[in-house]
Amino acid sequence: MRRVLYVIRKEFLQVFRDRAMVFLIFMAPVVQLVVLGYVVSSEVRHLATVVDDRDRSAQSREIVARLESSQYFDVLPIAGERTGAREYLDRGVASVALIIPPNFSEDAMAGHTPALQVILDGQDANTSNVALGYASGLLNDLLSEQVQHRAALLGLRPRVVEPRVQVWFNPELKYRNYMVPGIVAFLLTLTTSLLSGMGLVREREVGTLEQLNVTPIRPHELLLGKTIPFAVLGIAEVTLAIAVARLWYQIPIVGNLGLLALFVVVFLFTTLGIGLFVSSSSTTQQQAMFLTWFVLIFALITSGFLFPIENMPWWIQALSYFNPLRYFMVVVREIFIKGSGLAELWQQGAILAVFGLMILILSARRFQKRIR
Amino acid sequence: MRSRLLTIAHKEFLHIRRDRRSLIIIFLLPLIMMVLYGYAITFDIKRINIAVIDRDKSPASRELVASFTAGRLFRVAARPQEVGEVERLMRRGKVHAALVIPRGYQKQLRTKPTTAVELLIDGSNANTATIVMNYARMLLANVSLRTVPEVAVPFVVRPLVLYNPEQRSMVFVVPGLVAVLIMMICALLTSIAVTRERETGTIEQILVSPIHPLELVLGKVLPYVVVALLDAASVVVFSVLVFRIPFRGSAVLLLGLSVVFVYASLSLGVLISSRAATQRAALMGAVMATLLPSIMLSGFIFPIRSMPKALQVLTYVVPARYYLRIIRGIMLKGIGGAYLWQDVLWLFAFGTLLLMVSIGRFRTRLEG
Amino acid sequence: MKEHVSESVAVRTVDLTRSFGSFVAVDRVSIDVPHGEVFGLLGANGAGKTTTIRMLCGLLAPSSGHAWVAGFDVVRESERVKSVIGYMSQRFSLYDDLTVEENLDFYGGIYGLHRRQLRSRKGELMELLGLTPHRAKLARTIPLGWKQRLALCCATLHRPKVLFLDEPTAGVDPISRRSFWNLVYELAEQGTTVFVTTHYMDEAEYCNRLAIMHEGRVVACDSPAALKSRFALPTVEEVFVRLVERQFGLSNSRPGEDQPRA
Repeated sequence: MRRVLYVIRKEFLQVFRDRAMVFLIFMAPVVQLVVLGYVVSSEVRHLATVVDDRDRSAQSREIVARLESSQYFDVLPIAGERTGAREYLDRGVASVALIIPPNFSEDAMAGHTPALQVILDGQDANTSNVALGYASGLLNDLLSEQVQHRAALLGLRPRVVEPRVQVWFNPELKYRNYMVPGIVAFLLTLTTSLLSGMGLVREREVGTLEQLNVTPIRPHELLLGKTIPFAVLGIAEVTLAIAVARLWYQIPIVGNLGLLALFVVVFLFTTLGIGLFVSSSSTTQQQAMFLTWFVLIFALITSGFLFPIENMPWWIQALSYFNPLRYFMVVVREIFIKGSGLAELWQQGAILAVFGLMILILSARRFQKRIR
Repeated sequence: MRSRLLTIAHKEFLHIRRDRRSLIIIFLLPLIMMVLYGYAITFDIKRINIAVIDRDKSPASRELVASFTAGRLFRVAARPQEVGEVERLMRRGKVHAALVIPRGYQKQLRTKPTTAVELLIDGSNANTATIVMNYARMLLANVSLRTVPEVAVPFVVRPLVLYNPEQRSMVFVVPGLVAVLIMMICALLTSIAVTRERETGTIEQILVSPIHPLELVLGKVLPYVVVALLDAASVVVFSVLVFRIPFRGSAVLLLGLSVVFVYASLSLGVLISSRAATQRAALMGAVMATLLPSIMLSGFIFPIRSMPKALQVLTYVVPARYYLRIIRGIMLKGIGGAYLWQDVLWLFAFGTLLLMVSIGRFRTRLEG
Repeated sequence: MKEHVSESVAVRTVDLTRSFGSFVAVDRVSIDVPHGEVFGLLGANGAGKTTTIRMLCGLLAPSSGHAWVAGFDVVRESERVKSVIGYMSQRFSLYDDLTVEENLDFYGGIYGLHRRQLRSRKGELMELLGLTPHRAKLARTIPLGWKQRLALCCATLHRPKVLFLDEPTAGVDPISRRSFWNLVYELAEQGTTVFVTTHYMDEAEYCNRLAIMHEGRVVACDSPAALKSRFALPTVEEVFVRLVERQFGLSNSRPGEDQPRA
């Protein structure tokens, strides 16, 4: 077992000697967390909007004023007559256009039910959906007010059903509180699998593996020696990432950090197992990198980190059950936001443990065969 | 000069061709990524599970529940007895919201001007929570409107969605994928390839020959240009033929402008390889400096306009940002050079600047 | 019976054979190397030298035949073989991002040397090989001749019974080669059996005994002096050329690598 310690020491020496690696392992995650945190949790706001008001009545001006006062729409001045709202969308200057038809307010008063046209740049289905939602909500409010107003004129009293809304777990509705823990989970996956994936291949490529093979070192000792350092680095990185989440983003951590640490360790079995698998399946570092990248993209997309799994086609949903990151993502988020404990998370824990052990054992066996 | 360059390029081609596994991945990865991204990236929320506690159990309360489920967004997944149960359901992720109708709801609705119902929302995913809240408000407003059928509806909102009327995420994502792929192949592969020569010591062998560093670099990157363009073309063709993504503009223009983007990405790759000593470092550097920004800061998935101001400024140095405007503009909007020249200029300037810096660095690194 | 006999010699092979597909790299090689001998395996590139040595070190499984190193069967007891041998390959295969001393510490640890043992052995070897002034330098920054010494140092830290050197001096200048061989002799005097492959004829003269390999087969095996007198030729080089010509006609060495890398 002493041999394992020597391999571990050697790995650390090599990592810390490479200044670029030290930077990438410790600084890059911080930078990423800070940048990504803002990017992925940005809400759709300040949509560039043009209004083509062909009615020019008090009512149409009221509509424009409401758009302007909301934080969702930035109303741009429209240049000249009849440039056409369409042109603004073509050039990508605006992503929403509102067209108020001529005689809009007169028709509305007369009960002809005129149509307000909202034109959306549909390239990004998400933004356009959200934009339409905001616009409809805004116009819907206006509509209700008008109905009430007119009902009052007719001496009628509409009944109002009022929702009393209680938001649980994240009452300020900060999207960030949901996304930043996700980034923490993803960064851990990324670094540990990449690092351990490259480790053995490098020794093979440079020729040092052969030298090791004539020494009395056992495959399992080499395996441990080459995995433990990355587990340690992974844990250090998670700690750093959590600190950034807490101190920079002020993300509340409701749950138990000890429990989180336990899950991190369980999940490391999986990522390091993947790294070993990649390592023992490739002959060059380039191949190892491709393979890792391939696995990571799948893991990222089907983890529910960025895109809700429930909305995916059934076959991708089915695939996602084989993605360990899917479970880990839930665990990290639940512990951060809801403070869930083992009572709620034991299923994920069991699945992760099974996955981790399976992947690690299979990869370790493959590794032992392949180092010869 | 030319023949030496071609010799290096030929050697690099041989490397790529020999490495069967990498070759498969280079051509298979784009297709798999396309399918995965194309189908898995869906923003529109189709169905949200809610819980309902109906304490009134009257025709009016049933009608309210029916109006919630009629819109197809909400699905009643549980009918717990008490609020405590709701919390447990939310913790397990079974429901995202709960509607609680109080006892006496029907009676109040008839006699009082306002009636309250409770809406409990799981706020952890703020996006979903906002959608739930807005949608529920709208449903309740409609209930109110229906109590005064005498008043005519003053106006309607008619949406018109341009470029992507069916609101398919794929239409948005797949052109962006071309940008990510080019970036990945040009920046990632080249930086690894150059570093590999340094790590295995073969670079010294080449340097003792009368070759200029520029030739070496150009020769090494040339094959990757070809690979990248082939990959990009196959993704575009595949997406048009199989996924029925519109191609409204000029293919020749797109090809021409893609070359400019390839140039910028390669310069970035060369810059990374001039700094990294090991393949491991090159890989990590390339992932951090090229791939993640191309995915995160280019507008590929996350709209730039919604980012904080400081990050919006940062996106100006992400080459993929310009290329995304180009490829989406040409494919989806069918616009031409008149609208895009600025982006092209930026890309070109960016590539040239990086290349200058890295050639300077490359030479000193090799000699040092 | 064989195993009993095999203990009296450091290396014994009986009909050792290795083929790659239809290509027979090593063809029924049988040699005995007594303890304490400097034994040379001489042959052109591609003659099967490296394949033989890789089988003896347990890096490659024989296709047929048997081999024992220090009394242990290389197939069945490969782990025990590994603790009593040292190996130095033709390619520099130490960690070039570790310093000289860190490399030594690492291999010392891998061979299970205790801290005190390691310290004294390391100091002794570094002194012997003249590595002491370079101890804190990164392996990548020292000249090739020193890298070879470092590799030798790593391979002998644990006082192996048998030391395998696979073309240890490839690409090294004549002065460094000579001093390298002096070191090899010093080790042999301390009782280590040295099994070395080479294609340098002058180096072959340094060996106690030589096996000349051609196309996978041992075509002659004796001391340099005996070989020269048997053929009445003044140098080993001429003996080698004569043997190759006699067996297979004029210059017949095969081009290419010693053996395919597995």
